[in-house]
Amino acid sequence: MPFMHGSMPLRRTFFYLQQGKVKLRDNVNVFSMGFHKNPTPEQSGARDFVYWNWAQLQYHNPKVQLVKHADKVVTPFARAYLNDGREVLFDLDGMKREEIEKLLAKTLGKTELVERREHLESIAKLNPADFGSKNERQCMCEVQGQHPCTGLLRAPQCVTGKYRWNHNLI
Amino acid sequence: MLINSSRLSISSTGRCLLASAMSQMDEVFGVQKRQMGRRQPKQGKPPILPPSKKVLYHVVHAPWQKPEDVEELLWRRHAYNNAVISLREVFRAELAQNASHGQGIEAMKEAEALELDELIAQNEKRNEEKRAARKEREAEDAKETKSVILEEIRVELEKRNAGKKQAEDEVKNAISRSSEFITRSNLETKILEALEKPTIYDFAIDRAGNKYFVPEPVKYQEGTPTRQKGRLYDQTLGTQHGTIEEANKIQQKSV
Repeated sequence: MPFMHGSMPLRRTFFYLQQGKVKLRDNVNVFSMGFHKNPTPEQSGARDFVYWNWAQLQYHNPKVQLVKHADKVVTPFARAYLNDGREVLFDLDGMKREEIEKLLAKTLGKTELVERREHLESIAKLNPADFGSKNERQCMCEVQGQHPCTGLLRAPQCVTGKYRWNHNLI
Repeated sequence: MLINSSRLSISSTGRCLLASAMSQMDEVFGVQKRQMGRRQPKQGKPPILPPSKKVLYHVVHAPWQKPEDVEELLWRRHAYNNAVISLREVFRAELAQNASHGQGIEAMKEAEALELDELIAQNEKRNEEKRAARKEREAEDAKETKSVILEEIRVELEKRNAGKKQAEDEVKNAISRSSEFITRSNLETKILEALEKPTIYDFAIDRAGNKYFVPEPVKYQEGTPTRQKGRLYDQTLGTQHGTIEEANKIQQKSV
């Protein structure tokens, strides 16, 4: 199995995917990147970024369309298409992988302000009366004073669905 | 034989035998028959029967709580609900105040947009700088490439000139040597010269460059020349001299 050799399996591990630093803003709809498969030393940073960080980008930005352009133009570049129609171009000539990551995280990444705003919005959206996997509590039985789920404690016969008061009715 | 006998016999056992044999044949020839039979009855009481005496009229009486406990719990519930309502009011007021002072979500969004504009402008500036630097670098590279190409052209021209000069020299030498060429006028004398000084190429040579003539060349052939030459060269040549350099050294020493 050639895929299991070298650094290939490493960059697909869950831990490695979680280490990605580039979390693009909500403004970014599409992110494309031009690189070279056989690069010169000036172009190798973009290729390395694609090799090492592309999976992390995909993991952290599931709603962004990510496009790769291999061997299209001389200068390696990155281009982001924002939701208001603007395009942001990055010239990646002569940059290392770490520099590219830093640049993208700084320019298009979520800043402290964005994160604070999103946190506040999530708080405002939160309703303690809601139940479910996306809410604060999964079930009513987690509330203090309420009856626990029947999976944890058997309910009395009179509150189960099978209980019938008057068997003559049905 | 069995089938025939069962057909002939009238007894019930014979019919059973026939039926079982037919079913076996059906299975052998791939004809499937659905096994029709009674279903298993469900466990428990049939629905048509009335509830048992144990179940019927067995009413569960929840134990009554003490009135003071009920009162206390009601009071606590009211207090809790009022506290929650008050807190909600406090938070609402805080949010409204933040929004009025420009600290609300909308204000944050505006600040974000400004921040993004600023970052994009910085990026544009950096792109421009890189573009200018690349243009300058490419101009330098072009200049260097041009000089390299010119140098290559110069070397190639020099090489061609040298070759041309060499060819001219060769032609001039040939012209100067042409006085000794064989023509109709000097043919007789050249033939006589060749007869006087014959050039013989029938020799063996070793690594040191020594030539071995077998048989020894003679100016004029006398008698019948030997026919079998195969064993004449049946000797080890040049082993005593080694390479050319060694032979030269030996010669120099001997001189």
